Amino acid sequence: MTFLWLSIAVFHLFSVMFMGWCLLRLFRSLRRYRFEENPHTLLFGFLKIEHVMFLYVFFVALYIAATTLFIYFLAV
Amino acid sequence: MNPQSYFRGQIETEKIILFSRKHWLAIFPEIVLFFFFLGMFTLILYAFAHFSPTGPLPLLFQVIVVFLIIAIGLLIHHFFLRLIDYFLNVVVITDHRIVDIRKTLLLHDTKESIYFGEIQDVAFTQEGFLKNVLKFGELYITLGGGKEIKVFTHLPNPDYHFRIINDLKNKAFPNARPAV
Repeated sequence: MTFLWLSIAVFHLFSVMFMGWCLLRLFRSLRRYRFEENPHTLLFGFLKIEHVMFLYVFFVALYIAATTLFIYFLAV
Repeated sequence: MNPQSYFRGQIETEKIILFSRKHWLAIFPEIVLFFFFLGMFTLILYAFAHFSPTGPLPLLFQVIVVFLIIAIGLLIHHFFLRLIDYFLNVVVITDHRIVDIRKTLLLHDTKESIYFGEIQDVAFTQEGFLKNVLKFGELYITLGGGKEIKVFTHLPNPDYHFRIINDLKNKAFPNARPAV
């Protein structure tokens, strides 16, 4: 089981670091480009980039929690 | 200059008239594929958990589980990077020019300007059922001498963009095409 835990822990760490780095790059980019959004420019008429950023963090957090629980129950 | 809207490389006297992104249908296949593969990988993992052997898990079993979990992680990162890239790619129309910003978070950063003086002709097409119902299409801009045609694909409401560009071009160069 050590192999399973170790591999997943390393990948989870990589995932969080990668997401943080991407969001940091995105924040820098958004500072340089600012546009007044309207329903015609938003994804499906309502999704802003801030919503996508929140969903990204949410999905990664959910993924980490779910896979950790999965391995825990697999090991029991 | 509108302080609420600006972009890197904007001229001080330049005013942003409008900006647009591609139509949501351009990213829709990515969204469908993401949920399809996410569901598929989750189901496979569930099946693995259901049929897992009792006692210590064999190494091959562990390797497959690790592979599946990493695949789900990569899928999530890939999908959200594509979604972010969708937001970063914009076409900006100012009172001086059209700026095509093709940018991705990690790989590309390209900016192309077309000044109204370079534009010879503007055309748009909206062919097909989906394009007419969902109101998107292609905008073709023929540049000086007709040697180069710049195409903007999946542009929402191309008719509106067509009229705006023609108006701005006519304002900038009122005698460019005399009435016959």
